[in-house]
Amino acid sequence: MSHPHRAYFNAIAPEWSGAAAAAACQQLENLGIEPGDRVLDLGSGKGILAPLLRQLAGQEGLITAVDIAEQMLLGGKERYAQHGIVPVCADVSFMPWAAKSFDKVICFSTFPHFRAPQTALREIHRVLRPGGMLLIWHTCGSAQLNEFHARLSGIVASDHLPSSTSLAELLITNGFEVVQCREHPALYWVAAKRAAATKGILIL
Amino acid sequence: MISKELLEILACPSCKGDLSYDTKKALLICHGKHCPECGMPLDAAGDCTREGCDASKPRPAGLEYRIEEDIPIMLIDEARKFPLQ
Repeated sequence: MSHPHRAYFNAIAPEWSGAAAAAACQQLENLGIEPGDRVLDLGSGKGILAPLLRQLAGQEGLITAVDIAEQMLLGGKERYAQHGIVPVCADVSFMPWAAKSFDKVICFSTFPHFRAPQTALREIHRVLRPGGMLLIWHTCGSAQLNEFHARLSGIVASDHLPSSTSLAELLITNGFEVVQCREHPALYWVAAKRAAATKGILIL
Repeated sequence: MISKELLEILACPSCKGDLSYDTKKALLICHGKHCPECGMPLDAAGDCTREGCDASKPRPAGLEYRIEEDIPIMLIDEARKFPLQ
C-alpha cells in the first residue's frame, strides 16, 4: 500500500500556496452547508477552505479535514487551529471514520488524485449519513484540468478527472442520487446525495 | 488534542472499530483483530481479508496510530502492530 501521491504532495508542500483556488472559493457563499453540520473536507491540503467552512457551519459545526500528505496539513497548521479544526492524515480508500458520521463531504480540487475512485466513492458513501451530500468541485472544467495535469511532471501527470456526466453515472452506480451536475471551462460542480435507501442499486 | 466529539467519530481505517486515546503517549489504539503482516482485518476464521496476503492463521495484532504534531497519522501501513493479549 504505497502512496505515490503522498510523496508527491509532501514534496511540493513548501511551495504550494493554493492562493488562486482560495480566491475563487471566496466567491462561492453557499456550499449547501448549514449551521451545526458535520463536514468532511477531503483532500484539504493547507486548509484553504477552513475559514469558509467554519463560517458556514458555525461554531456548533464539526469540521474535519483529511489529506494523505501530512506536510500539506502541517503547512496549514495555524489556519486549521485558528478555525478549530484538527486535521487528519489518511487515505481516502481507508478512511478513519465511523459510518454515517457526516452531513457533508467536500472534495475540492481533489478527486482526480484518488488512486481508486470507486473505492473512494464507497468510503464516502459509508461515512455520509443517509441524505448527506457530497460535492465534487473544481474551478475549471475536466478538459482544462486534464490538460493542466498532463503538462505537469510526476504522478499527477496521469491524474484524470472524468467529465461531469461520466462522474454522475459513477455516483449513481455507487448509491448516490445526483442533484446538481454543472460543467463549463470555469467550473466543475457535481453534487450528489447519499440515497436514504439503496434498494434497487447494486453496489459492487 | 483530540476532542471528545472527534474521538466519537474516529475509527480504525482498517477494521472501522473504535479507538482508545492514550493522551500521554499520543496514540490512537485499535484492539480489533488485524493481520500482523499487513494490518488488514482478520475474518471470523482468523485469516487475513487482504487478497494476496501470505499470512496464514496469523496471531491477531492490534494497531497503534501515532499523533505527530497534533495530526493523527491514520495510515494502516504506518501503524505499529502489536500482539493482542
